[in-house]
Amino acid sequence: MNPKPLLLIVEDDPLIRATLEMLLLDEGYEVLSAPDGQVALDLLLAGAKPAMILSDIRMPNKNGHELLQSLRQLPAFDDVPFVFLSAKAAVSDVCTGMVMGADDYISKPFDPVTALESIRVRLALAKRIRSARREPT
Amino acid sequence: MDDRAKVLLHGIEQSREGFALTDAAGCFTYMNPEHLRIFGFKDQIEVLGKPWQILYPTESLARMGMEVFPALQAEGHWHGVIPARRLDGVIFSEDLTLSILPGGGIACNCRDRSSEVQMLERLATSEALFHAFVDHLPLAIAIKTTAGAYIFVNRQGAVIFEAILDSAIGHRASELFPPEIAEQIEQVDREVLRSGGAVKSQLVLLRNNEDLVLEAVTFPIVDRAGQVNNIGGIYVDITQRMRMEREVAKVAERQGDLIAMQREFVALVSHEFRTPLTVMQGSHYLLRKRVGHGSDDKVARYFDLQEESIQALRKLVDQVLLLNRLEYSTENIELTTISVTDLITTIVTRFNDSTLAVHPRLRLTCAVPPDLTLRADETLIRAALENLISNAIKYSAASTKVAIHVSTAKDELVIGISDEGRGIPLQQQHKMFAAFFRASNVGTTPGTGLGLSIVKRAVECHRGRIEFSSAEGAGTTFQLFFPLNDPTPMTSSSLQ
Repeated sequence: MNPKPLLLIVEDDPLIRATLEMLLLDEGYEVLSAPDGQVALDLLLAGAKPAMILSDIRMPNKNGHELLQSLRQLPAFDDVPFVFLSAKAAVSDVCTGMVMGADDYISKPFDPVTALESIRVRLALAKRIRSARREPT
Repeated sequence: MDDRAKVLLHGIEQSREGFALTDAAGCFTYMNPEHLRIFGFKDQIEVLGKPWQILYPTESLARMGMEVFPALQAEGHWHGVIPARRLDGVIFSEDLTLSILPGGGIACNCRDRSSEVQMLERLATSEALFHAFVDHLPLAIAIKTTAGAYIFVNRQGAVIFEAILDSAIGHRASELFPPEIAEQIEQVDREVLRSGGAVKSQLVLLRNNEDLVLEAVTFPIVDRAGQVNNIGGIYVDITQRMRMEREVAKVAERQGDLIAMQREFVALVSHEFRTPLTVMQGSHYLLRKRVGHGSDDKVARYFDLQEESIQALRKLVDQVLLLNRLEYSTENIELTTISVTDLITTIVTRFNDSTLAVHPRLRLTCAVPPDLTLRADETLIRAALENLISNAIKYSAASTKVAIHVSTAKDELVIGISDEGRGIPLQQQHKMFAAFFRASNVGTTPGTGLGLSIVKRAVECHRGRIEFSSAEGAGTTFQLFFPLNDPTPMTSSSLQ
């Protein structure tokens, strides 16, 4: 049996974080969460190997953009899908994030069904990419 | 009669002045035609041999006896104005000159002064009228010579200039006002003389430690020969008006601040709603997943109600934030080339799938030319179209039609959305684009009242415009016009 995928949630709002944790755990994922980008980076550098990172943009200490920037310099996390969580109004934040190499974004407030579906699709895609890379061409 | 006497007589006969002679007894021996005319006689026969007294009323005879004849005796002649009586009894003012002739007779020259007197009386009446008007006007009026000396100031002028009427007369501005004001007045006067036309100016005088603001019109006064001989000035006290204008400006500014505060507050509150909404949506989803399945109808109904409310709140928050963004900032508007054909087809398909399940007998038709593109912000165009189509469907009865028609005309893209629904009451149509406005005939149909405001702003952000026609009970047609060749978005300042 495949192990449950581990998802890292980076979100400073405890209520949003708790809700996401609940939803993802209920869906059968393993969940790790961090209140800001710095804690998230510390967790990753300490050996955490998430299958996907869901990160808020505006956060104290290290914001979402800075976290993504740090990760893109670490080959170990090169192929980990990075999805931004963002308030709808902050279109420019999202654009900046996408330009920096984020894979997707989920806008807040999010509809659980849609959000879970896009996480599922994104994970499946990443899995396919990984196996394609492993296979000799 | 010799020639010289003939010439003299001719002159006297033709004179425009009355001339008569009496003998020493005071009886007329000659009267020229003008004299006869003045007194209403036709022929000399009527007066010759008659005493001069027949021409005067009693009070004049008394004056003659007491004043005129003694002077005439002493001086040899007399000149004055005296009441005389015409043949028809009318009394008039006679300008009379008497001289004693050798032998005791009297020569008299006379003129009818009545028309002159009437003219003077009329003049006096006009002058009184003029003063009555001018002194009661709420305007200050001043007239001065071209050299700058005041020759007339009306009562209001005296009040405003703090000058007693007579004390201003004959004085110049430099003697009546502080130097800087006098200089300003004289400068305007020079401008009037130079240009030959009226000059508008504003004077600020200090009265009781407060500014007295006067709006002045200074103009040349021209004599019969066309020469400027005087300068007139009309001054209106606009202190109150200025004060009110300042108050109004202050109120407007305060109102602007309040609107900005309100806007920020709305944005902040709406934004803050997002976290609890997310939590509510997530919890609701999980709760329904755990408890909802297999539970009874009542529980299912409670979950539906909860979900509907969450969705309604979510929509309200989304719309308030979108409208706030559109109204006060266009910095987030991003233009790309979008396929209008694809966008509309997608929207219509979605509406067909979702809403026609609820309104099975409503027909939603759509006519879009292929490959139609527009430089636009897709999110906004989508929001505008979804709002209009959703409204059309919401307020339509079963078995009616909602039609979407897209075309290009000149340099414009025209998107029309027509329904056969309940329409908008005529007397409410003027405010239908105002935020939170809902027509009186919406009944229990849910809605935020923000949709049309969003549509209007979204269209205006693309330099487009919106038109509509609606009749209550017959339906509504909205038309959105977008320029095809103007990709520049509106700035927030030009949106006002």
